[in-house]
Parts: sequence; structure tokens; C-alpha cells
Amino acid sequence: MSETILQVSQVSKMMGKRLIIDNISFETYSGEVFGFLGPNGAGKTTTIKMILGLLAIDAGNVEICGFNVAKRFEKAMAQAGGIVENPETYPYLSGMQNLLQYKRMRSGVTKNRIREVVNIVGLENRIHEKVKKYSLGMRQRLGLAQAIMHNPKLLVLDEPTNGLDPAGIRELRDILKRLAHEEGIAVLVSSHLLSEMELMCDRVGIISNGRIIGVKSTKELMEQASGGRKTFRFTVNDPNRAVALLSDMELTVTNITPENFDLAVADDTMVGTINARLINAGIILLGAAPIERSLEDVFIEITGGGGNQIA
Amino acid sequence: MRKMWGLITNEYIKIFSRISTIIMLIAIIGLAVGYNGLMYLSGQATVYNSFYEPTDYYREQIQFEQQNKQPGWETRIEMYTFLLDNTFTDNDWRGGAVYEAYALKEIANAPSIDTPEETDTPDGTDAPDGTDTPDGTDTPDGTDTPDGTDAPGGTDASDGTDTPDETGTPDGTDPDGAPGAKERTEAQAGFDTIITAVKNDDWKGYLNYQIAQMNADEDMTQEEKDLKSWIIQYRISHDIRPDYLLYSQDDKPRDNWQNKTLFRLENCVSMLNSELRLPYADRDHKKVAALNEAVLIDKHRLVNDIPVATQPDNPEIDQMGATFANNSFWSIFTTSARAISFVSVLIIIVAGSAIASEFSGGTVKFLLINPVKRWKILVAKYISVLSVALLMLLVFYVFNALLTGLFFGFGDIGAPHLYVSGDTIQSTSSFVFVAWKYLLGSIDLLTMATLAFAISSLTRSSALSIGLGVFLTLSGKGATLFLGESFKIDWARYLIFANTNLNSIMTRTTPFLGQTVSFALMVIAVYVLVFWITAWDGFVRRDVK
Repeated sequence: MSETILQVSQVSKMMGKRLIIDNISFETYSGEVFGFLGPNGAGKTTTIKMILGLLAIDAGNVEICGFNVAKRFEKAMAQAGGIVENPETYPYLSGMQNLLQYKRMRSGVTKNRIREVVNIVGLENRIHEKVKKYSLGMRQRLGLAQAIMHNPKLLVLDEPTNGLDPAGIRELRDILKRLAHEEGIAVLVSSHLLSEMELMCDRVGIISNGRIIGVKSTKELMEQASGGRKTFRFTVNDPNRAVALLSDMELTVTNITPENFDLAVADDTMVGTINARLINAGIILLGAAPIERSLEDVFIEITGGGGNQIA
Repeated sequence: MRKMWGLITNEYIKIFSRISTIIMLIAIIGLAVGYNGLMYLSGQATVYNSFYEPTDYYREQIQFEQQNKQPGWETRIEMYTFLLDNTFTDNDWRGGAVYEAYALKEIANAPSIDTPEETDTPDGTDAPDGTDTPDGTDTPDGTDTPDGTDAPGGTDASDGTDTPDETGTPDGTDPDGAPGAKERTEAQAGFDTIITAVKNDDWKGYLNYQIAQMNADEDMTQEEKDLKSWIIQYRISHDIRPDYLLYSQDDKPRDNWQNKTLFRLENCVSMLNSELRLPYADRDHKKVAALNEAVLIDKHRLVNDIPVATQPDNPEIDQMGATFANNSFWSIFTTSARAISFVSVLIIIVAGSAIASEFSGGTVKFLLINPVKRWKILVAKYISVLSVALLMLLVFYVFNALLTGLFFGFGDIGAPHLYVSGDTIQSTSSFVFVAWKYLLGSIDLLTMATLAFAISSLTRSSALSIGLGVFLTLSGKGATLFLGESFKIDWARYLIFANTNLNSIMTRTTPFLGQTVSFALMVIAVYVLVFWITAWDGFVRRDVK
């Protein structure tokens, strides 16, 4: 169903004598948002720069739609768009003039298409103003318009939520999700903001110290981290008595407070049984809700404490 | 190919959207306006400003002589009195002739016991006086005018007419003692002849006297005599008074081109012969060649009645005065070409920021992720930098030419260009000559633009590439000249700056012997290649961090 758009195979990069990217491999598929997650300095931007041909690849291959970036740069780049680091466009040109700059370097972009992408990113009112008057959020949108104007199959965004306000972040998230899920673009997003990734990405590759330490779907990753169990939070009038009552069952109690306690259960159906037992024992049950473990928890678990550095 | 056009269009838009570029273009136009305007205004403001009223000066001198009573003082007082009684305008030939006559009279009246040193003294005091005299007062006036360059020519010219006198007196027939009786009689006769001519304003008589003097002079070579008498004969036959060059409001009737050219010619002849009197090894051969050429061209102009002509650039001649009619189209237009160094600074700013600004602005990361190979972008950038450079030059030339024409008229635009080939005078169009000269000049500029472009790619810093580019352009030529001329370092000929000035190589005015245009072009090509490899490496191969 979904095809491989970006294939990163055993890529390494030296910076001086230091190996900063160590044999990483992953691929992204059409129609998904792939999160590239890792602390600052882990090698996210370096990897993205190699994917987009800004840095030479010392070992390994990067292919976009089957075209090797190093050997068939123009073919590969015709299928890719992106923003690396800050969205820096020419401040002395208007937004439209900037887009026309990129239009002239790509084939098959019509004036209509430019109007279309300007609408997608919501810049239609300010597109003829000079970019130096733009806010960071507007420049980010202009960068996005630039990145998608030629209908690329791969969209690479480096820390796209940097400097955006919460509304802007949500808007961007919606745009990216729509591009991936409706237009079938493969979106690669890097970030050190876990909460962001969790909401935005279908799959996540975790990078730490220049190595990919795991590529999983967001769901898969979290399930793996919780050992296949789900955690429910029970809000009751007397948590301690409730825990004692349930001690004969095969449950893991993780967190007891005066108002509630958390239980990891192997199976959802057990929740009903637990509820019945608590009510029968006369404990007032105010609520029982599943707790999704955050990606951060997962990350900390996977990297084994290395995750402290993460914001 | 279409993409290449797109890339070049992009570069053009970037260059011309920047405020700095617009300011530069305005500055270039302003430069053309300013230069021509100033030239015009200074041409208008040729107000004659004498430090002294000549009469005041004569009175002062009389007082001075009365107090000091240096040998020959009576004669000099007589001279100043004569000058007081006969007021001549500053440029009148008679003014100089009177000095000449009384110098002869001093010889005639000199006491016989005097040593040569003492007989020289009046001459000695005369010489500084000479520069203070009405001829001398020409100078401040002269420097005020655009014809200023002529001023030294003017004073030189008066020296020139004095030459027979000067050579006659100190080197006189009797170096060991006082002037002999024969000499005194001759001097007295000379005095009488000159004063009679002055009194009758008989300049032809005066000139004939000079020819006679010259023919009697044994120190002069026949060649020199021939040339000088040719000049005098020309004056007599074409009725051109030997009045000194004067640039005042009423200069038009007297300062005709023939008079100017004759003075210049006289000057060249004197300089040429003082060179030729030296032993062969001590001669400045470049100067001799240049002077020979100038003499041929000037004679050609006088014989064929060519008032305005351009000539090959020649520093030896230029310092003696313009070869053109005053404030003519070509004289202004060709000198304004010096402002090119300003244009080259502007072009270095464009070239130096072409690549570096993409890096400093961070825009390179959007630029290089397009489906265009980097070398194509580099080529597009280079083409646009070069063409903008040519455009700026063109704007400068065209505006300059238009403004020069507006201020000074296009009258001379069809003037010929005269040059010597072998022994004959060749004539082409001035227009073609100047166009060719500026085309050669632009190679210099384009090479410097390439240098700045390479530094821009290497350092990725606008400030560094512009600063270094401007510094090298402004100091490189001087430094190379210094190495070649002062230190006689021959390998300096392989430096880029020794080769970019093709005009000076063509006119053989470089410090390096035997330098040819084709050699220079080859050196330039090698350097440009090196610059290109540098730019290539910096932009195409290196990582974008």
C-alpha cells in the first residue's frame, strides 16, 4: 500500500576525526509522518542535511524515491522539499518574490500552484510584503510553502515547531497530518519536543549520540515500553483500602496518592472485575481511566536515563 | 538551459533588490554628474588671480636692488623701470623678451675683473625671479583651470624661449674669466635687437634673432636646431605670436591650438635633447621613445591642421599638458575614466557578497536543496556578477559620455586618434580607440571581481571578501609597481597586478621590460583559473554547516 520514499542505509558522517553519525538506517513511507526524535546534539540536523544534500555523506546511501542523493542529486531533490534549521529566505524580497525564486529552480510549478500553497499555509494576505516584516511563524509558513510548492513526495522539516506559539504548532500539525494522510506525502519531522512528536507522528525514530536506537510506530513503541500492559488510574475515596482489597489479583500497583492509585493490567476486561469488587466492598469509585504513557517515559526507558537531557 | 536562465534571473533579482546596489548605481551616476559638473564649473571659474600687481612687483624689485646693490643692479633697475613704463599683459612675449634682453645687457656691462661665479650671480638671482615674474604668476591661474596641466607647460615654454640666452651666458665663450670684448659686443647687439623688437612689437624680428642665435650655438645638435627652427618658422609663416599660454576669460583668441601645440612641441624638443645629450647608457629610453612619438604627432597635427586628436596614453607627455583643445569632449571624457577605480570598488562589493551573503543570511540552505546542481548555481552567480560589472561600467561610460557632451559639447567626437607605427603617423577614430581602451580596462575590473568572488566563496564572509578585495585592488598595483620599480624584483611580473593594466602594457609604461599583452593575458587566464578553482571548491565541494 504505502511505498518507501526515503531510504537511509548505513549512513555515517565524520566531523573532523569524530564520528557524529554512526551507521544509521531507517526509511519513511508515503502517507506517514515520521518523527526524528532525539536530544540536542544527537545528530538530527546533520542527518537531515545529508538527506537534503547539504552535507557530503561519508559512508552509506540516501535514496529519495530510489534516486541516490549523492549521485543523482537533481532527480532526488525534485522529489524532496524541506526546511533546515531556521526558515531563512531573502528578507529584502517579498514572500511572493521568494517563492518565485524557488519556482525558477524547479520544474512544473505553475503560478496557480503557488497561489494554492500560499492558501494552504495561510499567507494570502501578507504574501506581497517584504519578508523582513514577517514574524517567525510567518517565515516558517513561507518556508513550508517553499517546501511543498513542487509537490514533493518527501517533506523534511527540521524542528518545525521551534519558535511557534501553541496555536501555530497546532496549525502546523494539522497541515502536516493532512499532507501525509490525504496527499500521501512522506513527512519527516525532527524534534526534541516529545509531546509534539506524540501528537504528530505515526512513527518515531529515536536517535541518540549519532545512532538510531529504535524505530517503531508511536503506538508500538509505547506498548513495548509498558510490557504489553495498560495502566488505569482509579480515583476512589480510600486508595489504601482499595489496594489492599485487590492484593490477591495479579496486578501491579504503581502509584498511590490520597485520591487515587494506578494499576497496570494485562487485559482491559479486568477493569470491569476490579470495578465490581471495589463497589461491592463499599468503596466509592469516582472514576477509572486509562493512562497513556508519554513518549518521554518510553524514551527514558529506552535510552536508559540518557533522556534526562530532553526538555 | 531554461533553468540556467532562471538561475541567472534569480541572481539579478537578488542583486537589484538590495538597497545597496541601487545606492551604488546612483553613486555611479552621481560620480559622472559630479565629475563633469566640477570640470565645467572649474572651467568657468578661470578668474585670473595674481598675487602681485606686476607694477607693485617691479617697484619692490627696484627697491630691493637699490638696497642690496648686487653686481649688475643698475642694469636690473633699468629693466624694471622699462617694464614699469611699458605694461605688458602677463602672457605677452615681450615680457619674457625684456628679461632676456637685460640679461644680455648685464653681460655687456659686466666688469672685466669679475670671476665667472660672480658674473653668474645675476643669472642666479634672475632664475628665481623668473618664476616670480609675470610668467610665474601664470601658474596659480593655470592650476585653477582645467587646463592646469598646461601651466607647467607654459612656464616651461618661457624657459624654452630663454634657452639660447641661458646657454649663451653662463656657458659663454669664455668660461675662465669675464666676458671677452667680442662677447660684450655680441651681447650688446643682442640687447639692441631684442629691445627694438619689443618696442615695435616685432615678434617676427625677435624670432629671427632667436634663429640666428641658435644657429650660432655650437652646443646644439643639428637635429635640435632643425626642430626648433621648424617651430619658429611655423610661427612666422602661420602668423602665430609666441605669447605664453594664458588661461583667462579672454584666452580664446590667443590660446589657439597651434600656439599650445607649438609650446608643447618646443618642450618636447628640449626634453628630448637634454636626454640625448646624456651618454647612451644613462638615457631614459622609454622617455626618448615617448618624446620622439609626441614630436612626430605634434608636427603632423600642425602640418595637417588637426586641432583635436587623441593620442596613446603617455605619462611622459601628459604631465606637460593636454593634447586636446581646452575642455573638449575627449579631454574630459578620457580623464574621467580615472573614476573607474571607484566603479571597481562597487563591483567588488557585488562580487564579494554574491556567495557570502547566502551563507551569512542562512538562505544557502534553501538555495542548495533545490533540484539544481551546485556548480550550475555557481556559474549563474559568476555570470550575473560579471554582467552586472559590465553593466555598471556601461552605465558609467554612457552617463559620463552624455554628460560630457552636455557640458562641453559633442564637437570633437569625430576627432582622429593619432599614433606612430614604425616611422609613420597612423590615424584612426578616437571613438574606436577610447572604446578599445575601456574594454581593455574592464578586463582589470573583471579580474578583480573574480578575485572577490573567489574570496567570497572561500571565506563565506561578505565583510572579509569585500574588505580584502578592495584592499588588494587599491594597493596591489602600487605594491607591484614598487616591487618592480624600486626593488627591481623581476618575478613580480608574474603577480596578477602587474598584468591587469593592459593599457599600460600596450603603451609600454610598466616597470617590467618586454612585457607583452599576450603574456599578460596568459597570466590573467592562469590567475582566473586559480580563482575559479577556489570558488568551486568553496561552493560546490564543501559542506554547508
